Amino acid sequence: MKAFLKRIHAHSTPLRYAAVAVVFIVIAVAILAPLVAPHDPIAQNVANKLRPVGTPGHLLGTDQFGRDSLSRLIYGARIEIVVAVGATVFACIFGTFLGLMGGYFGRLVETVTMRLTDVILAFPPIILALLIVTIYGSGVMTLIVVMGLLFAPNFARITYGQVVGVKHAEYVEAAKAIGAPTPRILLRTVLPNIMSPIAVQMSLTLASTILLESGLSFLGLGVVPPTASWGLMVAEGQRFMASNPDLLLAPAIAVVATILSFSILGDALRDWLDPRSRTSRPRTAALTEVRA
Amino acid sequence: MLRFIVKRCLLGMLLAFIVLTLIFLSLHLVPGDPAEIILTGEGGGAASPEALAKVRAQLGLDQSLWNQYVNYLSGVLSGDLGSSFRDNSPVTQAVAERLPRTLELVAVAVLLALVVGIPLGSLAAKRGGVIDATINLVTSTGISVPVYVIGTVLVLVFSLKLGWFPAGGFRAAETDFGGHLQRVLLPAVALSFGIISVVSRMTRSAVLEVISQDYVRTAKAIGLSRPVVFRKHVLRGSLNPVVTVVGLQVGTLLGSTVLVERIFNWPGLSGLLVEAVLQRDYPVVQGIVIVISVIFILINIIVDISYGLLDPRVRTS
Amino acid sequence: MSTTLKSSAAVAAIAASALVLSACGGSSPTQAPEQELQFGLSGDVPKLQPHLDQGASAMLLDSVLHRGLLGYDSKGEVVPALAEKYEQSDATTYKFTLRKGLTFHDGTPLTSAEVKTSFQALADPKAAAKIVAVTQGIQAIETPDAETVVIKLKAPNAAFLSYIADTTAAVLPPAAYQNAGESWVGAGPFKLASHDKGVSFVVEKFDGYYDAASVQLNKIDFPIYTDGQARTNALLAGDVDLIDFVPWEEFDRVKADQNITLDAQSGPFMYLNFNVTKGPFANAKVREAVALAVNRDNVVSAALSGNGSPIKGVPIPESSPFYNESLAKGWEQNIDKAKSLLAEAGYANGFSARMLSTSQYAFHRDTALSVQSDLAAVGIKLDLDLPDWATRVSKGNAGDYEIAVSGSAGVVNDPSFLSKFVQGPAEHTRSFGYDNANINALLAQGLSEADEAKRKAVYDDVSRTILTDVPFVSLAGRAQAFAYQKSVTGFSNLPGFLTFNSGYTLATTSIVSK
Repeated sequence: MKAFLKRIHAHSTPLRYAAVAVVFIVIAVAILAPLVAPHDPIAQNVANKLRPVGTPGHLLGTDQFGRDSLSRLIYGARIEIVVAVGATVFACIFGTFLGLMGGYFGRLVETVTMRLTDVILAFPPIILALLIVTIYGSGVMTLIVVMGLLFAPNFARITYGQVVGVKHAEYVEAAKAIGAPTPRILLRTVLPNIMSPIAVQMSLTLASTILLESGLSFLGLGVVPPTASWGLMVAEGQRFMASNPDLLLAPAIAVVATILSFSILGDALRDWLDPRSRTSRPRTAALTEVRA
Repeated sequence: MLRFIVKRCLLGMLLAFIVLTLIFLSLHLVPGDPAEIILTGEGGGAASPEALAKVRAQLGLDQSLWNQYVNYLSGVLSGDLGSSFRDNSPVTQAVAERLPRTLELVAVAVLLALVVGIPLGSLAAKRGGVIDATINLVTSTGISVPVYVIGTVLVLVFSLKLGWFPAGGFRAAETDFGGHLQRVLLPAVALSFGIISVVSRMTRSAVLEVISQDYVRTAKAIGLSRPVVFRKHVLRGSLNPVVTVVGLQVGTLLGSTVLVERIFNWPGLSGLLVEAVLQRDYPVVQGIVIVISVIFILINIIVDISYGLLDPRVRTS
Repeated sequence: MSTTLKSSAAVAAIAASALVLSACGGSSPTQAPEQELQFGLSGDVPKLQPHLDQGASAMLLDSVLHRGLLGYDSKGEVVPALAEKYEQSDATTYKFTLRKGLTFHDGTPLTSAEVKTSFQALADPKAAAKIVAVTQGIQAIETPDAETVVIKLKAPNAAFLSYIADTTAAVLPPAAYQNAGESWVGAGPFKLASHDKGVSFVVEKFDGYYDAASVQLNKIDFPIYTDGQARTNALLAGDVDLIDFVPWEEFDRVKADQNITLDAQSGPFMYLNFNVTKGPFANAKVREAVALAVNRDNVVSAALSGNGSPIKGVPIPESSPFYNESLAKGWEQNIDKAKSLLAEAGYANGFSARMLSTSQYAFHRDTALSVQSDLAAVGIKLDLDLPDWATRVSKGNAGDYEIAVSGSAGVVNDPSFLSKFVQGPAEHTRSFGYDNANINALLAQGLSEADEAKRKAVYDDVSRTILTDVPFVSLAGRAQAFAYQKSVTGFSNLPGFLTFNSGYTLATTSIVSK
């Protein structure tokens, strides 16, 4: 533990501290939304619509329904975190399971699990999202499932690669030799030893889900209004961008800052968790792999 | 080695078959009726039950799902992707028209990303410290802004404010080459923001890796000047993997240009795909998905084979 | 280091070449205008079937490529087109005299026989033409000679001529009917030169058009801009001369440009439908409560960016001779009365319901959001169902909703258009399961009455019944706008529902130098 803290300190820059701070703030705001939001996020007051940033009583202005942008941003953080964490956890569990199975058992299991990830990847992401949303209707759960599915292959491939690397390691062979049951070996012996790349991937996936959510919202595939989400706010802001740029500014900054923080955190985690990190190659492709 | 290639190809075909079946079945699960959309268009119009039944029969939608599937499959096997529900034109023709446009968009974007990303990445690797951190921050910001926001800003600034470029659209290269280039640049720039970050990061780490190699140290030790070492040995050594990997990303970007195509009114494949889903034009959706996934699978096979050639361990596993 | 330099030189080179490109690609407005119009069209049209077409883009192309016996002038008055003149010999008989030497674009002659074929197709219930409810009233079509067509109706129809002046009643070459009435070849002022799917249509002046002498445009290029913002940007950047369907949130930006005219008319309107076969909305009192609870000014302001007009009663426009002020304001917002109606209906504590709209069109979605907020105030809690448009149409047709947001227009401005919203088979623009014998009888009477005062009395009765039985709740008229450079003259947006026929005026449009 002490060594870990030391490593955190050794690999930390002001930027990384800032990223941690942003993530903490977003999570705190999401949890405390009802306490910190000045207004009801869905209460309309059309007479007071499209007010600019800095309007008294509406710090970040109002949208086309006269709803308070700050309150929507604050409640939007809630949806954003629920969707991002939900999708990431789903992707992680599903993908890691596939990778673990495929990597450890090999042969037929490997073919089935790894080709399954290929099937997901072979679908253009946008079509997967469009189809699932049109069949099951839009909403938070659908978003979590769609994005979870889309990001699962990343976890599967990483886990697979790691498992193949450690499955003949001495400590795994030792566990086998003393007759430990296979599930126990997988969960207690293999998994803990490959956790760090998965943790890094989780952080990057959190960033990617927020980006993708805004893209899906633009296509009308996001959460159901009047619920506020950042993606929906950015998408709406884009419509009014030429006439009322204020509407776009706050949610766009929130989205960019949060995505940046999660991806900086991902890099940081790699250094903190992996002592050899300076020489290992950063796996940064995750952020671009799924785009609308 | 041959066995390995054959095996991968067979697997690839199986994969394409699964994708085709999945897309066929899920399209028929989607609510919404192609006949209704064909008859009423985007307007709030009415269509009589008789007319709907007639159109459904024309489209073959009155047959059992199994029959439709078998018909479609036999068509695909003979190279016929069917015809569009909306205008009866062959899907292969629509894909042949649209695919090159999206490919072009992606290719120009990747090219721009290489031109900007490689210098940035090598600068970051060589200088380290604050410059490294700044470049990292800037390119990461580029990837964090939703692409449709970037696109809209580009239009507002470069078309409306400055008047340098048309605000989107398309001209065929054969008839109006200049107009064509003018219209491809802005959307490609918008698309390239995301790729620049990847290119620059990959270049940075590849350069770092190469710099620590023995031959580079040797080159320095024998007194070659730093720029020469960098150009002749470091960059050359690190560019190959960057170019290869980014080139491969083109495949995955194919279905992902929807938003850029919409903002810039670029008539590409992704836009057609979304439109076809919204219009319930099943044959077009199926055709495009199959083409995109086959391209994706082919690229993967090529990667696997080239890895197999390079690394014998892959073949035996 | 030199590599970096080289690359940045490359970047500079690209930027420089871009500048050169944009410089040489720019248009030069110095010479005399070429009479080639660039028209930014809001949608692609995969096939043109004038008898069926209802979309804005399809109808626009219909009005450019095709012609019927009659047309509309820029004020929305019925005028002769392929028919040189027409007369009504008795209440049910119309005689049309065709112009001499008419041909289609491909040179085949257009005579009374072709007109007859077209009207037979329009009246064929299986072909399901847009105005089939009207054309089914045709009893006989006679062609005494090659230039005369006599149409006899089963019963008088005061609005018959208005219906057949719509683009949908175009005369098509006989070959079209072997192909479900699909035809790019017509008898309109322009003929199709090329169609690059998803990219553009190009039409050229048709020299065989009956009034070719007054057609000034030699060529119209219709680049397709599906996205409203992209379309507006194209106009503002000067890439195109004219656009249709200006998005409401862009009105101000367009108006702010000195060189551009925004030409808006109150076109289609937004309204609420109900599934009247089950649940609370089967009760007319509940429907009336909804009609009294909604704040229509908010719908206009929030969903249409203020570019529309609230409709507080039966949607007969103020410009119509059939307008009756008290009936047109019959649903003025009255929360107290809405609450007491709900109490009478047994819903004093409100209820929950599912509202169908679509996420595909922002104005449909935003109308739903605005209404959701209003109805919450009287205790009706709405959950929104916002699928894509195709799903919304399907659910609407199948009655899979309790309350729904719709947007639609009549074919003509004559109040007989109301029938579309209250009678006929299950259809997504009508309340599911709604049927009122009284309204049906009144509407039939309204059509057969020739005297305008008597007709007005009948439509007042229709309106009164609508106000209390509430087959739909009108919300707001949408400002349907075209926008064009000041150099474009002669084009005009036709009033009311006729806005989709505005392409007729392209036959007299020209470009003048600025």
